[in-house]
Amino acid sequence: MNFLTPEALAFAATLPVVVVFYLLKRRKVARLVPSTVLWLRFLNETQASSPFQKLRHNWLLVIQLILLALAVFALTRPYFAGKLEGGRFIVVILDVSASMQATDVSPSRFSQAKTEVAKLIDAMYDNDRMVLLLAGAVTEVRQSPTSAKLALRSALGQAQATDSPTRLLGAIKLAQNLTRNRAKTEVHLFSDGASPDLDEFELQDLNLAYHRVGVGGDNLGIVSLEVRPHPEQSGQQAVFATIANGSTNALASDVSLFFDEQLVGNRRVRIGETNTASLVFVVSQGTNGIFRLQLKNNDALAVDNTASVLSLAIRDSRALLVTQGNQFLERALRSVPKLNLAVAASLADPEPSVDFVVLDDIVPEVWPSGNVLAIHTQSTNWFRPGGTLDGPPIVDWKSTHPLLRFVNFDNVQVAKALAVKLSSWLVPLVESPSAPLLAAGENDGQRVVWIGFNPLDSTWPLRVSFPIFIANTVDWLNPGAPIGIRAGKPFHVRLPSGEKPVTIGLPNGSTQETSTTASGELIFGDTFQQGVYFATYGTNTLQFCVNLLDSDESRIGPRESLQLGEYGTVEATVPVNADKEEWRWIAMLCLVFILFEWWFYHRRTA
Amino acid sequence: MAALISPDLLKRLEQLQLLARRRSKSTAKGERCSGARGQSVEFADYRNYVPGDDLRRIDWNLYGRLDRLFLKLYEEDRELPVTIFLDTSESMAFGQVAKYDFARQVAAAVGYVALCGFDRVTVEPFPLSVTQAGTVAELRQVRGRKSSIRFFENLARLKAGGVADFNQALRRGAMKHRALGVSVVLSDFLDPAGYEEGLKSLAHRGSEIHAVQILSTEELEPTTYGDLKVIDSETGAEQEVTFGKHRLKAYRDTVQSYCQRLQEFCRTRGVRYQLARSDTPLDDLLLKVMRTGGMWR
Repeated sequence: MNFLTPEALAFAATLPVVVVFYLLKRRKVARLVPSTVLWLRFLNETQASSPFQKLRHNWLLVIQLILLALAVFALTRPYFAGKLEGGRFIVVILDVSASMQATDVSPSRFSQAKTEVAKLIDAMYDNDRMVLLLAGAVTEVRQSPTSAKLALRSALGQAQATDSPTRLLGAIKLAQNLTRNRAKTEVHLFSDGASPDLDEFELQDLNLAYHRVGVGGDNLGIVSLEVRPHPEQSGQQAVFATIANGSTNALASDVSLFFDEQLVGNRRVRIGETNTASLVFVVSQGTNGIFRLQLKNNDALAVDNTASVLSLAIRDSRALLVTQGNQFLERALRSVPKLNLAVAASLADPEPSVDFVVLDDIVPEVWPSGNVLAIHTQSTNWFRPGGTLDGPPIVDWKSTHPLLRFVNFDNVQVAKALAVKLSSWLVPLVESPSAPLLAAGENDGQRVVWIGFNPLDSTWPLRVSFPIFIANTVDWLNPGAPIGIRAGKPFHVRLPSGEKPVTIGLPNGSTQETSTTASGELIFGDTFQQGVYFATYGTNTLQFCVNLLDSDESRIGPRESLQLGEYGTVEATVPVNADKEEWRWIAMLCLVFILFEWWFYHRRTA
Repeated sequence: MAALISPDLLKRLEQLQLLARRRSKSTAKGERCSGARGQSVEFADYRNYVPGDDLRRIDWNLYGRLDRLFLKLYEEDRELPVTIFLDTSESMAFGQVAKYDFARQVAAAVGYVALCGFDRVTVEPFPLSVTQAGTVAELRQVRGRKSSIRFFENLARLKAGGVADFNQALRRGAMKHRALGVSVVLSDFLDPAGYEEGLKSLAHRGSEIHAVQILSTEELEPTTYGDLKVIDSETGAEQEVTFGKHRLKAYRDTVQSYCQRLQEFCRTRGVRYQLARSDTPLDDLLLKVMRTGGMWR
């Protein structure tokens, strides 16, 4: 026989306590009787003359000792090694995204979800096993499969909500893999359902229970924030912000903009239900600093009421346009403020002293080592030739990419384009049915934007989206662009080459030690807190901002159902009655009661 | 007197007569048959005349027929010494109806029956108290019905107290009252030293002994439960005992065993034994139980 909790044997120390109580000299009730002759005879007839008569003649003591011993024995959870039928395999997915910090339920959605998970742990049978997954921007296996409730409770207790957006897809896929080829599987998702990526998942036969957390409430949230040089007022910075109202009530709030914690602007906004409002602050900026936007209202979710962005001081950037002549492109580039543009017919120097090079329908002899905007060009390394396409229709573009922000290809027609095969590090941004038309990527610290067609062979230069795209490209290729990422996304930046230690200061004041790669690249993944991070290497300090900026998270109304894939729908479950084991508490109570009863007995008869 | 026995009960007691299996060997005249020859109306025997005999007791009719002188003998009635050994120890003072009060009533009844029968009554209280010496002296050798009032008064003046030595008291009584008679022992028989020696010495003298064991209800069926420290009222000895309802039966068995042992001892020694609860109605005890027990008729 073995014991699951042999430490409960410590309760055996209560056995001598009872005996000590018994052996202690008790105050008896003094009673005057005519004669003790009869009492002596009575005692002589009922008592044995063994030395243990004091312990034997009192059945109450014996019964109590037996009860106490049994209770202690039960608390040790004895078991015999044997074969049991396999229990349930339970996968618990706990949403740790920012929206779980909402306080529409007391004390918060996350606390309530943890309470529900704790109940589920309590309701486990001994042969059940559970896995605890934390789903935020990334999925973390907090506790591997185990039947030990203590370990599960400990893992649950250490779980904390993050400021990152919800990405449940990875967690559900992991749960599907974990439960594959197993019998009696259950997947319990404790979330508010604010995950936009579930349509990529097919439910199949996953036994998923969606435990909806939260009831919804009023919330205003900052869903975008960026700083750009003002296009019209030279020397000014324009801070663009979008405030979203995810609730069904019109809400108003003061919006304050701080630069290095100095108030530089304040607005009062009123946003209708499920609507957004855009704000533009125009400020002058002399030095590098951090803009922080703050909503001053007490809504249900606090994490989206603030956002920060690092803005470098405006300086003129330099670009080299290598072209045989493209007025549209040249004018678009020249319209970009603070850009000194040089134009050349050919690229003679592979390392020109500019921030980036624009290759317009030119195949250079030596590819420039800096950032490049390559238009209608091919490289045997990066863009392997595949022929040409005539009149390729534009079927898709990724509007979420910074290059295509505010860029629309609805009315753009292309007469002729190159059909190339892209390297893996290049991400297609605009696609035709047979080949990508526009791609961008970063390879070993070098950013490359590639346009597969000559704009002059399309209607694009005639559209307003063309100068916007050029402006976005200048921003993206400009190394002085503001540095900011979304919570949960890894931060990576190229530092001077050579492996060196870097100290990262987190918004909560803690620090983490890391180091750059051999090529000088710093990659930091623990960006689950919103705020300003400091990377210190040597005597230099680099700042970067991490923001939530997620409209799905700001819309805190819990989803009644989850749409998984095209056909799968999981409705929110109502609380299910679960068999909850309470014997331990009863056994503990029994122990306490026995001790109390013994104490009370002595007190009463004293 | 009224405090001890009611007038109604006294009237009924007057009709009773103490029974004695042996003839009285007292020297004083009384109303009991004795083996002695004397003056009475009860013819006993003849014997030859010897010079010096009272000529008035010669049977002249027999002389006329036989021409010899015979003396006519008559049985002489003598008194019956009745000794009442009354336990006046501290232990007798207990009980909702005190055992001592009950014992005095029984003693008064026995004494009254004896006095009415012209028997000589002596009360021997034990232990002897110096302060009660005068009263005890007046309770000795009481004779005649007229003395009953005084007898009752003296009996009522006796107080319970002190430590009794049962065996010694009965031994002394046996030595003191050598004349065969009736001895009545009124006690609870709860002496730590036992009762055997005392009863033995009393029975050895040939007295007719009646032992009346008087126990209170509290002794027969105690109602105090829990962890007790019982203290002996006479000796002050302490004894710890855990007692509860579940042990009541065992206690009853103990008491019953004790009483049966006493009864058996009495039976083997020719002692008549009676057990009386102190709350027993006196009429029942005197007129029924003791009557059927052979105390009187």
